[in-house]
Amino acid sequence: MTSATAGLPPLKVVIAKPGLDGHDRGAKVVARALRDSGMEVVYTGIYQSPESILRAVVQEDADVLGLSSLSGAHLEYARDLCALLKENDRRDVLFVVGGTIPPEDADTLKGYGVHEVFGPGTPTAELVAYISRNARQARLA
Amino acid sequence: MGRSTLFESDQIETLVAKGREGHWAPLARAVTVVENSPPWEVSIPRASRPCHIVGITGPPGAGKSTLTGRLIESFADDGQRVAVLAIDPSSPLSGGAVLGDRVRMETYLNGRPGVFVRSLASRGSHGAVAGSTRNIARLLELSGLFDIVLIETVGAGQTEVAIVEVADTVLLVTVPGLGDAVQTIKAGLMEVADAFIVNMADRPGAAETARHLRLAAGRVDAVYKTVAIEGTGVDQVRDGMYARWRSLLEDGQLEARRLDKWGSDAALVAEAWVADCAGAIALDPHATMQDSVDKILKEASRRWSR
Ligand code: B12
Ligand SMILES: Nc1nc2c(ncn2[C@@H]2O[C@H](COP(=O)(O)OP(=O)(O)OP(=O)(O)O)[C@@H](O)[C@H]2O)c(=O)[nH]1
Ligand SMILES: [Mg+2]
Repeated sequence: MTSATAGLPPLKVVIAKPGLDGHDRGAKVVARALRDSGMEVVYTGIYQSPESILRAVVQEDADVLGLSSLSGAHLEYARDLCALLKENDRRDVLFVVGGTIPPEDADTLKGYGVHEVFGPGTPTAELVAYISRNARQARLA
Repeated sequence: MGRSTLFESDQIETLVAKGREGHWAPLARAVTVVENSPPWEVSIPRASRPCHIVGITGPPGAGKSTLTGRLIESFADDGQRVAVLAIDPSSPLSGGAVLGDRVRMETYLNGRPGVFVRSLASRGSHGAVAGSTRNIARLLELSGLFDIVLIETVGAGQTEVAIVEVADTVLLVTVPGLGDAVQTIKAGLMEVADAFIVNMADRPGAAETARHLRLAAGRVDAVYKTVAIEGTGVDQVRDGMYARWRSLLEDGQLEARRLDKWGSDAALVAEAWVADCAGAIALDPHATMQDSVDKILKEASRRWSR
């Protein structure tokens, strides 16, 4: 446990793979890294729709949503999910996106409401640190 | 005295109203509050109308989640309002967990907005359920939003029987080969089950396993055979649950079972409280056992009355 999360209950993270994208290696690597840092990770599996991902975030009362996309369809899914999170009063979720995201798309994603973007080769320690530091900000505030 | 997170009737009203509209966020947040509170801070009033709390337990990989997904489908399509609690183990090293039961249920949730599924990590509690499971099941019951609550335990061994403290009915899921003559005479999980399910009945040996279980099943209502990946035999389990629920309600068994649990509840909370206090007391390693126990109990009692 890092000092920021000591004494607090574990962070709850939903890791989701949207659409027709079967690349699940990265999602599983990330899920395990987050588990090993003390987080509780719900993995939804592949081929999820924005609606089913939202359902998981809401029912699991997740602190963090992590979208993993290697199919190139990240912009559309992230935009839809940002809208759904707002409509369903879950603006407080820390929303991160990983996978094969061209660097020039990062700003577009952030414009939609995504908090951070992690491309191929990101050391897992880096994304774990980012999530531990930034999750629950909105909830605690 | 231990403080209580009481769920007041107006809070429950909000949960119910939102839940009826298909907005699960308030109920999900209430579950989190219960999950993250020590048991002595939680006090949930008894529901006026009970719902059938069904535990689904059995060895790792027996097909519990797949079967639970199919039961969601079967119950929901028959007009029942279903909630699921799915428990997976926490890592003893990091305290984290990967909660993978939901993956197997997702397809059965699409188009069934009235179903509520929540994954829980066991968080160090033994017996294959999370310490908070009982109170969360009660909260779901109190909401009045469900007719049935299915609880999938962590993959359980012979002695992990804590699910009986939570459920009105315990379904033990096994697979062909696992229920052989030696296993069936073993004490533990087999003894607390109300019905057996031989899942993966598409595999050889299912009939034999079912026969062994039937022979060993003194108090068991039924032995079912299912193929969860195909959905075969699942409606029979559902109908068996209806019949059992009717009889539990009619002959007063439910009341008796539940009263028993409410009684043991206080003991469990007291145990948790003493354990928590004991962890915070500096004990003299050279003191006698008697003196140390005395110190722990006095301190626990002092803190409780504070
Ligand atoms: C392995 C691989 C496969 C395997 C997948 C195995 C599996 N089960 O995952 C197989 C062979 C099946 C496969 C198939 C295909 N693939 Co492929 N595949 C790859 C490859 C070489 C590596 C992906 C990988 O596993 N990396 C290792 C993991 C650990 O890294 P990662 O996923 O990037 O994750 C890291 C970060 O991105 C980030 N991250 C990822 N997810 C998340 C989530 C969160 C929350 C966070 C915080 C971080 C994060 O953290 C991770 C750790 O650093 C990539 C090329 C590449 N260099 O990425 C192509 C690639 C993804 N594949 C590609 C294609 C086209 C395909 C196919 C369509 C090929 C075909 N014509 O059949 C099929 C489609 C399969 C499908 N159903 O979707 C293209 C996608 C192009 C695009 N985006 O437009 C790529 C980019 C290759 C290329 N340059 O053309 N593929
Ligand atoms: N052949 C066959 N495979 C099945 C059947 N039911 C489930 N499976 C498969 O068995 C594997 C385990 O299923 P799960 O539903 O995850 O089992 P589980 O008991 O929930 O597992 P844990 O939660 O990890 O203990 C999966 O690959 C399922 O597809 C069945 O009836 N027949
Ligand atoms: Mg399971």
